[in-house]
Amino acid sequence: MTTIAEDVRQPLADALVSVGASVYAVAPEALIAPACAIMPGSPYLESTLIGKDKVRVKINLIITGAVAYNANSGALDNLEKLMIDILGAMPNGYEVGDVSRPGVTTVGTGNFLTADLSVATYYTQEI
Amino acid sequence: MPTTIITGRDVTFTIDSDQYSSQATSAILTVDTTINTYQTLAGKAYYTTDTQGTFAVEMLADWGAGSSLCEALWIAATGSPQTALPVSLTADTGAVFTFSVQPIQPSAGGTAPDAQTVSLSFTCVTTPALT
Repeated sequence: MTTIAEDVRQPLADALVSVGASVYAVAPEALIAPACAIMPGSPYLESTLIGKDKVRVKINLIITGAVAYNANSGALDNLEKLMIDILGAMPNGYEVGDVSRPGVTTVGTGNFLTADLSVATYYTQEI
Repeated sequence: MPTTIITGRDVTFTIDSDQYSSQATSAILTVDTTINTYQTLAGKAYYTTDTQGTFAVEMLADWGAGSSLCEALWIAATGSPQTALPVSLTADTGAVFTFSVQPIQPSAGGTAPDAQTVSLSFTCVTTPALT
């Protein structure tokens, strides 16, 4: 049986490895910057297709890019480069949306400058 | 009588025996009826002279995919434009509409960054039958 973890999030994480950052297929407990993490969007799963012989859903995901937040100008420059690299590494089959305004996020004891990229794809549950 | 609700998830359909559930987001069969009205000495009289069915489909484009439905429609419309395609539309279990449509070519292309979609409005060439 297919799963979203194995057939959507992990392949997306594998595609993002080329950006040269730590890539997390789920929200990480600890972060090594620069990093990108694949998080659920909202709504997360949408039923948009007809028929119910199989479960088919649109999956909305957020790719959060994070860089070390030491100096404003350097951090923003690094984050912009990271988000552009992520956009360039997006595989086929994804709707690629907007990048949100950057903000400072604290994970563990570290501060990171982060921004979110909205993406979406479709998934069919195969038995 | 309890309330019955059926939804778009209950809908399935085939065109020329191809199943569209994996791509279609909407499928609606509409039959327009032409009714003539006559003013008689006894009041208005109504007479149905014609019906015309339209089958509207919204779907995600799948150009280039193996067994592409968009390409099947395109090939049918360009290769055999006068050959009607059989359609079977299930609104819910036990409610199946059968009819034929004239083939048409799907649109191609889309707007960034959304998924490419195709809107089709087929003209029914036979009167839909409920079986």
